[in-house]
Amino acid sequence: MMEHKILLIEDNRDDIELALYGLKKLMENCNIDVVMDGEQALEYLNCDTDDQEEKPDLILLDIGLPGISGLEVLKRLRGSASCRRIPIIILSASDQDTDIEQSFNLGANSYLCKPLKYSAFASVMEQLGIYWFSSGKSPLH
Amino acid sequence: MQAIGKSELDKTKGNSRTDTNNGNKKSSRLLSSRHFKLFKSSHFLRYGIAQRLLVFIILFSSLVTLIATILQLYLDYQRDVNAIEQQLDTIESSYLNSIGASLWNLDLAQLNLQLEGIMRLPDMRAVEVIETEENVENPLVLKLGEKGKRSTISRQFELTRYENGDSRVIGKIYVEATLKEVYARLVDKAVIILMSQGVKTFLVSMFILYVFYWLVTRHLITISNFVGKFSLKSSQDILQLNRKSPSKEDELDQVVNSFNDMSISLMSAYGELRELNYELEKDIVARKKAEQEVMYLNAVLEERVQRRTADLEATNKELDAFCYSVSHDLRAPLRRVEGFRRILNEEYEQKLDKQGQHYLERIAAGTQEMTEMIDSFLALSSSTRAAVKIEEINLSKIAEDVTRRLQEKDSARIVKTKIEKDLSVKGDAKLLDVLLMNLFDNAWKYTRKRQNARVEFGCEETDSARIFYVKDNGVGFDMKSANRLFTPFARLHNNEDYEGIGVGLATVQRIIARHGGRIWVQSEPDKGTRFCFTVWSREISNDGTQNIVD
Repeated sequence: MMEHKILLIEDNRDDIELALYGLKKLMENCNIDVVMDGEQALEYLNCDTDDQEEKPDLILLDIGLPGISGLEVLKRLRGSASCRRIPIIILSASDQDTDIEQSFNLGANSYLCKPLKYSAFASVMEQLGIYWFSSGKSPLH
Repeated sequence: MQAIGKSELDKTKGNSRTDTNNGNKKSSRLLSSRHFKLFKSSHFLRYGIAQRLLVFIILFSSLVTLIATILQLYLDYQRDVNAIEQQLDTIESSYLNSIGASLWNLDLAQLNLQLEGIMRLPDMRAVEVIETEENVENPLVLKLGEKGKRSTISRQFELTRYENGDSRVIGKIYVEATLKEVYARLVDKAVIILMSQGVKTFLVSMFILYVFYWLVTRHLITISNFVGKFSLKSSQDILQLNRKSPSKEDELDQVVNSFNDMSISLMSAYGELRELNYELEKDIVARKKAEQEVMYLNAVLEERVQRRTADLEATNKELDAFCYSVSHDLRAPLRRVEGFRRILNEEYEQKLDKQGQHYLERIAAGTQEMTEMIDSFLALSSSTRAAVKIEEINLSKIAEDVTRRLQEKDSARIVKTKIEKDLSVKGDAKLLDVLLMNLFDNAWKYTRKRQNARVEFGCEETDSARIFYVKDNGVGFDMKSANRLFTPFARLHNNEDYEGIGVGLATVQRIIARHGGRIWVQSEPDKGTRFCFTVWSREISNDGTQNIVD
């Protein structure tokens, strides 16, 4: 079984730690990279190259990022040819309709509210995971 | 006449000074001005009292003249007729014997002469002698003049022959007098009488008119002009008539005096009125000033109120935003605490003794409680902040969903629910969900100690409104404290028995307010509580929101 690569874009260290713990629990064979702001994220993803091997299979994106905001990152990713098909799950402390709507309009695949019920987080992850596992490969490739 | 002439002259002097030096011109001017006056008074002749006076005088004098004339003519007629009768009598007494003799002697010449003598008498028209002796063929008939058919007086006498003491009728004589002359005389007389009377009447009328004008009308005109020009605003001379005052006060003097009295009292009344008016004006000015001041103050006050209201609204909004932001920001660290507790629980449970595990449980309970608090803060905040989307909502379905969630949360509890089917209203789905959640949560909470807890949701229709209610058989409360119920953070029960921070009902009230309704409570300690609410029980404002609730 191939290893899945996940990119976590999150600025809070505690949140990173918790997310890593949860993700490791959910998917043993995944490789998680973490960047802590939008600029690093865009640099990491290097949207200008077409090298799909380097691209993550899933992006977890916090909206409340310092500098370039999460929504801006989302917009740029969806605007780039190489990154626009990567599934992106928004992590947000906001449960406001406007944020949710905006995220989906910009092309988010899912939206998780941050005082998140761990079960909800897991179920979204699992749904995506099950899809990968059943098809035997990431839907991106 | 002298007086009017002078006055006219004075007037004329005023009108044209160039005329005054020339004496002839002066008199002609005087004359023409009098004519002018008369001409002017022709108006009064045509339309005024004079005309009526004239008509009455003429009518009455004509009537009197007519009656007198008729009487006189009648008397004249009688006299004339009597004269004719007498004449006929005279004929009888003086002519009959001689004519009878002439007839007896058949002296035609004599008879003719005698008849002509009769005809020469005044008014005689015809005379005829007829022989009536018996046994005579061709009796004698002698006739003078023509017999008329009308307007005649006629007599017939018998001609008698006296002989030896015997009398014998030998003929008859017919005499006829005409009244034509009499009538002609009467007509002449009538014409003369009528004409003279007419002239007399005319002259008398003119005289009366002139006297009337002189004595009354001109003064009336003066009075009328004076009264017409009379004005309270300009002080004026008193009314005076241009005439020699009679020794005793007459009606015109009375009129003039009354008018002058009236004008003096009017003047004084007017003066008083003006004074009062002036006072009033002063008063009004003062009042207007005061009014303006009040208006100004009102405007200032209004502005101040508006500014304060705006300030308050802004402060309220800031507070809401602050509340939202604080609650929101609190969630992140809390979530982390909960996250790490979970990891501790999952990874390190075995390494902790019982006491340690108990502390972990307390951490879990604490974070849970705080999460709920924050959630209810956010609900309170969003109950006023969130945009409402009004649509047809099935409240019964929301109620069922809410009870299901409550049941899931505390599956050990057995609560009997009774929810009326298909109660629908217009409203915002999210807010109504929060509303019912809070009310049911309350009911759930305060029936906790009941063996057979019951919660009911239904609707009562009254004439004016639909009243929805959520009813429980819980611990209830004293109605004395009911007014505190909807105030944020006010709690009626201690936190030990019934947890909560006291924003649930405040949230409920705000949601009801945004649905243009009213909420109230009925409760009795140990019996239960019933929350009643209405929606859109008042005029719905344009955006579907209605913020003030009793």
